[in-house]
Amino acid sequence: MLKIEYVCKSFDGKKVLDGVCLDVKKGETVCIMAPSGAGKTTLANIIMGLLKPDSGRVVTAPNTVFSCAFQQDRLLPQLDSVQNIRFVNQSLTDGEIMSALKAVDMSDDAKRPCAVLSGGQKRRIAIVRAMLAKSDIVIIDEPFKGLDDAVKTKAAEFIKTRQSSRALLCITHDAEDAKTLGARIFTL
Amino acid sequence: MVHRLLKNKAVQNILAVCLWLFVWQAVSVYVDSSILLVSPFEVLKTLFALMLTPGFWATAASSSVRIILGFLMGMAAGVALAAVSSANGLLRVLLQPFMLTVRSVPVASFIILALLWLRSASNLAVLISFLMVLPIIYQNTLTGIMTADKELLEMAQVFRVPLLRRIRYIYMPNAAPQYAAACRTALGLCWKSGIAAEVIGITRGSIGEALYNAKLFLSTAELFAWTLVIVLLSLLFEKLFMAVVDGFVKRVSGGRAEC
Repeated sequence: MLKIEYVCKSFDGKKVLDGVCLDVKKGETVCIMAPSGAGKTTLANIIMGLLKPDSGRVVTAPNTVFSCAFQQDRLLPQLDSVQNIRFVNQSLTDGEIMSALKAVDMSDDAKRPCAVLSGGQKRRIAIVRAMLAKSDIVIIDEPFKGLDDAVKTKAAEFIKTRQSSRALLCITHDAEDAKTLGARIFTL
Repeated sequence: MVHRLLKNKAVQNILAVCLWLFVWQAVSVYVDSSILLVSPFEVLKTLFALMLTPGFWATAASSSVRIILGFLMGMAAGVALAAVSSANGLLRVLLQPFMLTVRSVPVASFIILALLWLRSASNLAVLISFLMVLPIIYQNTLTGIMTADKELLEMAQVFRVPLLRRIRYIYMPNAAPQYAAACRTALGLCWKSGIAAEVIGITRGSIGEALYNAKLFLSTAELFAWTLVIVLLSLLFEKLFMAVVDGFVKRVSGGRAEC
């Protein structure tokens, strides 16, 4: 489903990624682990085509669609949670979106603009948006950042139930996240 | 009670206007020459007399139509060119000197050139109004589009969000406030330059011609009365148009709608 072959990337002469290779199968969950600043997000951006590698390549099946819960959430501040989710998938009904939001304890704030939500609330909407989008590969960057333990468990459960046959890449520096998601660990 | 009234913004504005009217009246009494400066009461009297003449409304309407037409055309062209050039670097570079030139060349030069180029002065105000509005709307709208949040655009790219939805929910909320500010600036400018064009071109049946005649016959009261008409018309159009634009900005910046 996804093959990363000898990917290298440097910024201002500093090598961030050096010959990274990874193979992810359909339906598999992989945690890409490394300390902060080690190039995890850079690798995610290369996988999604937002950055070009200096060398090496990312191979996916033709017409592979990605969805992503970005590290900075990247929600449209003027829209509410339902609208933000529908922005990436118009075929979703209000009922489907509300039931997903309920699963991560966000149904009460579903109609508030995202600009006024807390960091943890935005994080959950970003996760729901990524999981409800039509995609073949889901990338979640620092999935549980800013979430307390109870919400983290619900968010992890939601991710697992909505993954279905998609490949899931979780980018984190916390081994606990990999354990929570039951993922294979790949260390950068 | 008085203190509370004085704190009211509307009362403050009315008092400020009254103060300047008083100053105007005092200076006109001091000057004591109806050619140099007429009193505000004299201006109002002349205005009411003008309003009863048969050609007044037609004159006001014909100038308004020309200037508003030029404004709307400049606005449409400015937005369209900004949208196209935001996606095309070459066009952006090509348009930059043109817009800069139009913005910097004195309006009088354009009017005289246009008089040479156009066969009649009847559409002069349309052209001048158009030229004054175009670069302002273009530049502000372009800046608004070009400064759209790059992270949100990347997000839309990853999720393969269709272009129309990106325009509606990422580009437009960013460009709309800048576009509204440009409209506000352009509205005042198009009336000033449009009337100036009519004065220099002596456009038949226009406010500009009426101003020219007032100057020719040293009728200062009429000059002031027509100036008041211009101010009132431009204010009226600005209020109406900006109400529509502000509503649009609120709508695109506030979400809901169909998403």
